[in-house]
Amino acid sequence: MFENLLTWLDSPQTLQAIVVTGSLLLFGIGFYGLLAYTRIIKILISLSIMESALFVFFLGLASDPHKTAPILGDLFKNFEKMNDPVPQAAILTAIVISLATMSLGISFAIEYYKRTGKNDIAQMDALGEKR
Amino acid sequence: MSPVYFIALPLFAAFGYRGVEALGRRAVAMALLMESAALLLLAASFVGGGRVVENIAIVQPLAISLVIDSASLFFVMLITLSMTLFSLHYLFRRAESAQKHEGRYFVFLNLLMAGTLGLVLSADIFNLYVFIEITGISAYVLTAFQKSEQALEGGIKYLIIGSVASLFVFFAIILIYLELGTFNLALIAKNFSSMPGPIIFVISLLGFIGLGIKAKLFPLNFWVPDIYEAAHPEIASLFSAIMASAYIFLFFHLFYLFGIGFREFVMTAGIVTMIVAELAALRQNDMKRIFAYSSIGQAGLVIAALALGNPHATTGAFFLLINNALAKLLLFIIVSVLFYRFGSTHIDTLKKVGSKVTVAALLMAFLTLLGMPPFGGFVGKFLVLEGFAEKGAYMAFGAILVAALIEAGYYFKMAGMLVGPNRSPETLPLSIGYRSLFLLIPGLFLLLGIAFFLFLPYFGESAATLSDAQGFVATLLGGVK
Repeated sequence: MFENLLTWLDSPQTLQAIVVTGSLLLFGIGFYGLLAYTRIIKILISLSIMESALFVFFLGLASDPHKTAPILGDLFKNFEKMNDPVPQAAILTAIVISLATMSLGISFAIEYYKRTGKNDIAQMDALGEKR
Repeated sequence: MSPVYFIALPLFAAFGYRGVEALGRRAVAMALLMESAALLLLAASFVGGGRVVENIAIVQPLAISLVIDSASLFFVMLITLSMTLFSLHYLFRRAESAQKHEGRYFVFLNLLMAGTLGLVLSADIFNLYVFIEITGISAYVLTAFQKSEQALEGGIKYLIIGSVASLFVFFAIILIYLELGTFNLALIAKNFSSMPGPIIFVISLLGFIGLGIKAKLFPLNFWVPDIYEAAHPEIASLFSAIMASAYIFLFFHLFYLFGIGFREFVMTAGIVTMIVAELAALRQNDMKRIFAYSSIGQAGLVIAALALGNPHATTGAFFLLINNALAKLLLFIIVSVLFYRFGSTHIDTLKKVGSKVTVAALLMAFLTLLGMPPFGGFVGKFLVLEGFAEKGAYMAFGAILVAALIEAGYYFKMAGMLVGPNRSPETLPLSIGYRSLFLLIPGLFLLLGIAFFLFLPYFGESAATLSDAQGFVATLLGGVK
């Protein structure tokens, strides 16, 4: 009974189902935060959550838990028991980009707060139609 | 020569900013001018060369490739030409109106150029994502560069909306990779229709939202006027001339390559974008906002014409793109000159313009944007209308004419302020360089309108190449199955 449960949990389909459900749930949380909050920092955090959800989604679906990391395969001879390295390289790049965007956004928010004392996009009024 | 220089040279030059900055403001402008002029010449050397594929590192289909064909070459020349004209403005402007940190400014201008050129040239969908981000991040920084309240507000808004857009694009790219196991554009194009229907729909929807935000498509363009208002006018000139064109190319490059349906839908979106933007422009009092709405309107017309897919309309769209880029570059450069002199971008400032060259340049830019002969805009609009008439799309035909009438409303209002009564002209000292620049750019779109037969074969070929998905796939893959 317990053995069966463990094998079922260990099968790629189950793991991938967990990854898909979890990451889409995370994406939904991020999207909710993006729409529901007006604080600049909270919006940036929501964006970050959405990005992380996509990384988990991609990595979870593109790799098989029973295969090893690309560098630990059979020494580049048959490429049999290793995962596809492309998604991992892509995700690394995307993480770096996301980090850069986030730090830029936070530095904008800090500078904006220092200059105006505002930290909320609902208070922004410098732009727009003027009569 | 290899197309890799289009991306490598700006990225490499960005590293040299310390050295250039130490030599002074003129050196920064000269470096930018030499660089963009060199790239323009390099682009000119590709004219008539067919499709050139540059594979970096390994062989197909794993290689990172750059493809330059007559469609992407058109956009490369548009970007480098705009950048050359922009750096002339940079060179001529007076010392007191300089930006605070010229060296950093130079870095982000270079990144913007590298990013947009990469968007146009790359044949790898993940690299496209990276270039979208490079373009985006440099655009956010350039928007907020002044660090004033307005600029920072614009920068934050742009960063949030831009990140959401690239998230959607990234989601679409992930789904494509999970389905097809490749990032190579040609392989994706070949197998795109073999995916299950719902997946195709989701990918198209995500891509449409992401790239629609970037290409300013209605109803995803609510952010544009704020950003154009927040940014310095000379930066807005680059956004309108370079970035908008690059994203329109990317949108339709992928649209044709993947053979996505929804043609009528995109066409209608373009027409609605145009009408709504022109109507909104009527109510504005700030020149930057008026020209921002006018840019959206022109983009809408171009998108509608490209979605129609008729050869005449597509060729006309190419005329309109280069015409709009040159005219908006000129208009925003003049706005930035007026802003330094009078400290305002309100349309009443136009009443104070006392320089004949500036008035003439403004009037010519208005006329070409309205599509009046003998300027380039006329040729573009005429061909687009011909295309719509041939396809029997009379609703769209009428809508374009109505939009032109609305457009005439606000451009004639501004022209009235330039030449009409109630003027109070004040002196506007202009250097000889600026005077020649204000004659050079109208000269270019006058040339486009009078000698259109010189450009017609090239633009026609570019238009045909843009929609030729099979040729792209065949050239990129070569012998690979």
